[in-house]
Amino acid sequence: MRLSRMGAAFPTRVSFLPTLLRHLRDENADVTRPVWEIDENGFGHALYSVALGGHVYSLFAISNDLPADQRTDRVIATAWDTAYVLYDGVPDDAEIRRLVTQAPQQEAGRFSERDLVLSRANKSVRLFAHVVDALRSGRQPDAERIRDTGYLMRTTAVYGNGKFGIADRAQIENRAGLSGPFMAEMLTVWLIRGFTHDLAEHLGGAPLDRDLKQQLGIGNATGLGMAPFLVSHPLLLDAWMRARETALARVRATGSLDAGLQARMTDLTTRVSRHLAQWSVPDPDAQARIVKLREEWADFATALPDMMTTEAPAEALFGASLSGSEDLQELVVAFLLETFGELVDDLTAGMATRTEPRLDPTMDIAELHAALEADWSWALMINFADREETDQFWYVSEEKLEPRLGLRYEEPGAERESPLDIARQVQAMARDVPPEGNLMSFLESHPQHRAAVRRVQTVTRHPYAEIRDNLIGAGCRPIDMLRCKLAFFGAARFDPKSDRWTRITLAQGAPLFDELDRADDWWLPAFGDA
Amino acid sequence: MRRTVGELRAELLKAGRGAGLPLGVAEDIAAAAPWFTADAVQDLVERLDRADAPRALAQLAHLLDRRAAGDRADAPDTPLWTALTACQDGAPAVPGPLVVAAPLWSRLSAYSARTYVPETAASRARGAGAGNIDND
Repeated sequence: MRLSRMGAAFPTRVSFLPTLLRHLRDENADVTRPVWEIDENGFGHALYSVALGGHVYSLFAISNDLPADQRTDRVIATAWDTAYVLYDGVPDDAEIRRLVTQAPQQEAGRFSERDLVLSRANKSVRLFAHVVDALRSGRQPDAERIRDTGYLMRTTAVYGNGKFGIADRAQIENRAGLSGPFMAEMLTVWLIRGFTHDLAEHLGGAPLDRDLKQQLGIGNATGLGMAPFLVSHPLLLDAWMRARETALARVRATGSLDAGLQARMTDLTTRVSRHLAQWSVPDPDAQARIVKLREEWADFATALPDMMTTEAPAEALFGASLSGSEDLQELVVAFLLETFGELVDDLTAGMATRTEPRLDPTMDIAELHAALEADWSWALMINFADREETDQFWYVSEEKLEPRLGLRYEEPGAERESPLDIARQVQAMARDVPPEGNLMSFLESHPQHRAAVRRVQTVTRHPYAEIRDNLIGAGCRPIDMLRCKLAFFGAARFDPKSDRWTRITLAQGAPLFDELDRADDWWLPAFGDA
Repeated sequence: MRRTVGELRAELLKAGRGAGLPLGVAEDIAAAAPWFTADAVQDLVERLDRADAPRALAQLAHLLDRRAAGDRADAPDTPLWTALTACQDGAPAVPGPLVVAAPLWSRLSAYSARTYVPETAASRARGAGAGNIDND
């Protein structure tokens, strides 16, 4: 698992938002809006409730007047257009008063174990104004503008798992529907999306056409804060990748396709072509990749009819993708998983983990050497004497307590760097470890290698636990880690703004509150007339 | 103040690193967060305050290793050790909420703060990677 491949990821069948929506559909979930205290300027609060797995959850949403000069997507912001809490149950009046005060403060507030997720979002100012203006003048907004932006608001953080006093994940990890990774966060985001629709319609004084509303997902701006997560949660990364790889293995083992599956593949191929045609970004390098992918996909689509009628079409299609770019390869994997949903959907049940990596002090040192040889040659061959290989360092900023990336030889602070230098740690351990002997004694005399030994041991049981690249080298692009994680969330339309932050769209084309019956089929949507 | 397990886990890891513990030892302590009582936090902070904290806590981790290998001797019965061994045994987590007095939490956070890097104008502009195009 290399950074460049992670940086080519697409959402798939086993991504978290589609998984959540299938759960909601299976339960015939019904979203209600018991509170709507929004004034004529669009300011106030609202409440949405939905039952899932025997529990009721409510999204508390509050909209405030945000001066233009305070509107920023960066995590250093201190005020937002809207703020949200996913609440465990239905908040009473006293709890609503508490949320009215606390939610807009975000990181500066203090929350309770009834609060499951904390989030905020800013308007996409131009599109939001356009939609409201159009509705007010009795028209529908411009379809192309809606499609191209894809959302009315962008979330700039979605916090779960105990942050700022909100509930620990342990509180919900056994609950049906929320036991998978990031399910509470995905529920929050999907409900926020509905609120943004309602807010625009409220201000516009008229309903949006359903097909336009479907195209309005929820945006997100993601920076470095998300990147270290994949390194600090190796078992989770392994569980996600294992689900994906197991799904792919199942699909590749399938035989000939019946007429229904052939038709499904043909439909999806056309949809992907249109999706790619509707995905354009300002960044020239990213756009060049999209353009190349469109061409590769066109070739793939041309070859599809012949390959579909072979004895093992899935394997043939997968094999054909390997001569293309990593973008094509990843897209084909996602396409194959989407085609064979019934075969792979159950794998989403195994994507959450409850344990931390364990150290086995009884391992024989010879076994440790075998593991180093089997899994870590990529790390052992890096020349860390070359400054290029240690050019960057990860750290946490004092001001915002957020991850940052610095240049080791130009900026201060490297002595306080965060331990994302996994390859360097493992190499240092491998240098010191004797050829044979007792691991416990080695760790007693070399406690500085305890973390590296644990990581090496972890990979023997969890082959996808490690990003096999040097995360402190000059060539490390954090955006690759961001895209991988965001694709697992279900994000699409990656719109990188630098090598370390990106915009994405979630839930564009996803079912509206009253459309969960189509939760099965909205992957890489395309809009408008074909 | 009530502290969540997530907050405690993050703080334990950073404080351990900030106090100069080997990373793996700090990880072991952080992993035991669900089994921590306020007394265990107190026990840890007092140990971090000692000059030989890195060596002493590494030795505690070694005792954990010996315990994992079946050697149950040498176990000092303290709140920290109780948390670490409960974690090792996969015992049921301490039922919440965890309330840690503000002065004690501040002592723990003071060690965490040693892992933070003060921002400069350059790092703010470059380190987070945002440009000036984030407000449309």
